[in-house]
Amino acid sequence: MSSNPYIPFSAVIKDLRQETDGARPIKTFTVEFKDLKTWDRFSFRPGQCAMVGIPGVGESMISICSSPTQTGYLQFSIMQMGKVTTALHELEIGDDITVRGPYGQPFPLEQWKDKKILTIGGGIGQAPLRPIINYVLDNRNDYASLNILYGARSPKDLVFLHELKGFAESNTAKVHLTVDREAPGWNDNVGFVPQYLLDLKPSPENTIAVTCGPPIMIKYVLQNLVDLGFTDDQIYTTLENRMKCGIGKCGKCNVGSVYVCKDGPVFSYAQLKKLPADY
Amino acid sequence: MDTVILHKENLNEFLKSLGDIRLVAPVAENGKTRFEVVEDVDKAVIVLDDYTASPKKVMFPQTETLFSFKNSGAGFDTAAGTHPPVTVVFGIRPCDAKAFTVLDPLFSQDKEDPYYKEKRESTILVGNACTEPTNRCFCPSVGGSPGSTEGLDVLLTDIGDEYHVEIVTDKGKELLKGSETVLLDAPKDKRKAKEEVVGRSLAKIRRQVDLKMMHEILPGVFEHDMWKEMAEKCIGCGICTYNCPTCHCFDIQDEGSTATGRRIRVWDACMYPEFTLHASGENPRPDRSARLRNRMMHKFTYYPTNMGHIGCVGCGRCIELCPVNIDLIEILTRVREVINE
Amino acid sequence: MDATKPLRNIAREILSRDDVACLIGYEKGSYGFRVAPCVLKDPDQADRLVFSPLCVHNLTNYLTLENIGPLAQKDGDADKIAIVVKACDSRALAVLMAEKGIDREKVVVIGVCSSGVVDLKKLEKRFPNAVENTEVVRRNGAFSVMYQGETVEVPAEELLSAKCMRCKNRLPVVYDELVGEPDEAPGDEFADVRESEARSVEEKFEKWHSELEKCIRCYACRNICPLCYCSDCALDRLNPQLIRRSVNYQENLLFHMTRAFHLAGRCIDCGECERVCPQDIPLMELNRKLAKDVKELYDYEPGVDPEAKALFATFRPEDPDEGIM
Repeated sequence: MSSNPYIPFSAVIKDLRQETDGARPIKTFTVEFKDLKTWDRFSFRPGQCAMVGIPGVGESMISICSSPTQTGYLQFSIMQMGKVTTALHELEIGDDITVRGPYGQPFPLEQWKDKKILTIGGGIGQAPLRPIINYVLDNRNDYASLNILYGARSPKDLVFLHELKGFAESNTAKVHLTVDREAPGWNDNVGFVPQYLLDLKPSPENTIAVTCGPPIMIKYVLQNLVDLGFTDDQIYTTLENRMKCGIGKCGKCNVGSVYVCKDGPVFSYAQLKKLPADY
Repeated sequence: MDTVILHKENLNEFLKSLGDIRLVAPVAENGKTRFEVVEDVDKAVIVLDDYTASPKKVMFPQTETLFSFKNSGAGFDTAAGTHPPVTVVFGIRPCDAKAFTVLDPLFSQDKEDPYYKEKRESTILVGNACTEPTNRCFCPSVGGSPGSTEGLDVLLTDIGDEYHVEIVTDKGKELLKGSETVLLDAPKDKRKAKEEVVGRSLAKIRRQVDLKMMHEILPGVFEHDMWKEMAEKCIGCGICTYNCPTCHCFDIQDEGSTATGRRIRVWDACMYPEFTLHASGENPRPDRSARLRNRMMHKFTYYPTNMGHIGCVGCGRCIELCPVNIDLIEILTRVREVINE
Repeated sequence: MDATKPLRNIAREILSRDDVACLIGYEKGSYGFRVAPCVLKDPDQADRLVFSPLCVHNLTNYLTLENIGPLAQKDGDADKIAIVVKACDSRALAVLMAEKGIDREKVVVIGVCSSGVVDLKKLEKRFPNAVENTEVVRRNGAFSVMYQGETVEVPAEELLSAKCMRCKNRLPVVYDELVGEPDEAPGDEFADVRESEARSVEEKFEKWHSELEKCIRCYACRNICPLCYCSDCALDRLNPQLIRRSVNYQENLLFHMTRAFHLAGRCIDCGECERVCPQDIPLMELNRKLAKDVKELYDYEPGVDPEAKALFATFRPEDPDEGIM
């Protein structure tokens, strides 16, 4: 049966978790398909995204922030920004939601087997990195180690804090948290993520570094990784752009001849360097 | 391919003999010529000497319902899969027919677009060769010709009192099965007449642009100042994009409410500032020079790289209709100058 | 009188000034009868400038477009922008000044007295497919059109733009430099508006139904208008959304009627919207009807007096309305 790529799958919200408050709050949505047969058409890998939406309002391309090893549901961490995300934030547990996808190229986790994985996240940028973390933890023997470097403006801007603290406590991964400025009750590192990266001085040997966060952070992280001796093929990031169709036809998300929805969002630094400065 | 002759006075009879099809042809309406559905061949004013009307909307309408919904969760109603009627687009120009061939790989690659596909498969293109190219035409520069049959099922060429009719594809042959009474055998001299007509047309096309290796040359001038200069007069409207037969960008919008409504796609233009505007306020192409550069490069580098076709058929509508004389021939000529400097 | 030479001389001088960043004028276009707007930065570029009946554009539009206009300048930017304007174009400057859309101090106005521009669509229909060696010059009551190696004389009224045939004033209303001398303008009695007012409501409705069905919402009319410069156009917004993105008669009607009302008391009849429309919609009919109403209700004509205040931003006791809405 040929499927219409513009028709979304019906889903329902099973859980909502408020990650941060403020002017642009972040909520993690746990979503299940209404028809279990949908899973036959929705097999995804870490790094892929989906169009999350509400008919009558619109759709927004969001990274799937859970790993496929977490079966039976999808998770999306959504920051309230514009029309669609504001409407999504008004939904409650039990409300309907639509999901269309999965879209994009995933992280090449097969290629990364036996390597040391280092994720470097900033703010909401931690969300697309979370599927890597969860996948690696669920396939722990396939990977040499997992180091998570994550920072935000302040402690209350950190997402998945509870989970990350859990990993640190159970020693399943090395977690290095940082905030931009001193804050009452904060006993971990203080400093910007790119600087903390330099302070930690990770060895590039047999390591893959994946980063996601605000553009300015990514810029300095990439620079610093290169300075630390990482090659272009050892560095990965995920881009974002305004998207509508998700399937490389509407023309909105192109960066040069590449469509972020279909040829991305995951790019190695080597691939990134080939793209025109149009993103 | 088969060649037959149709006497001009039999044109209406020919159109009526096409059978139970939906006929779309260039008709005069309120001072403009547009491709519209013709209900009554004898009453309609079909215009065959017009070069402005664009039939892009037949395969790719400006506003198209993707699906409608009622009471969230109750499923989605879509017209896709409902088999549109067999349509004949009559009087389409060779450049516009080629444009569909250019668009086909985009809509069919990866996840196929059922809306375009269904219309494409159920539409038969009966072309009208160009005997009077205008000053904006430059199709030979992109490998086209006023008498090209590329992308057409049938091609009519006006050779005087008759039309020289080429049956290009099986689809075309099938369509003309019922027209035997008006389609006559073509004697040798009439077959040659088409070549002469096309030769005279080609001589009338006076604008050209050298596109040799252009898809490789363009990335080399990405950072150059010329884009700023070329884009300074651009007013950021959608005239070039909307009138271009190969432009395909679209937006998706929801109309109605969450209780009941529809999701539509509408034409969009990369020349608009909001085209790439993120909700956060960030815009990867914040100024007109970035947008103009992207449009040119998309047509002459990115699209050829991805789809194997130049994203331009040389119709020149963008050149003629641009309110401020932004001329892609001028731009691409400048690109070559810059590279040669 | 050929304005080109004196215009180039003035431009050369102005571009040599330290306080002027650029000059917006007209230059020969890429083919046929086309003329293009140009932005010059150096005095030796001054010879690119032309002025002829083919200079149809209202260049004041660029003052409120990104990257060129004073509105887009960074704070503290002291550089001025010089601009070539005809009398009709200059009225836009007067309205922009009244609305504080531009800073008069930052604009150097080069006014040119024109006897009228051609209707390009009429010209290109009469002299089709021109590619090179074309020129149009006004000689008294006729246009000398150089086309395909020959020069043809055409009575002016056969090619003049409709707006020039009802022009009220050929002297720019604001200028720092002036080229040429204004000749007598025919005057405007809104004859065309009276004609359409005389039609029945049914006729008018049907006419505009068929015109607005043609609209493809390219927004060229809005983007070319010097007085449509809201950075966040109400007719484009998604949040809240006033006009749907779907293109059909209803949404098009809402778009054009709303835009016409947003321009009431501000539109200066430069006719650019109608000139650029790829679908040949007679947009000026809408604007001129409102202009006539404004004249009758408020005895106001936008842009003729550079000192005047904006109409709908001001309340006068003698206004027909009892208060400000």
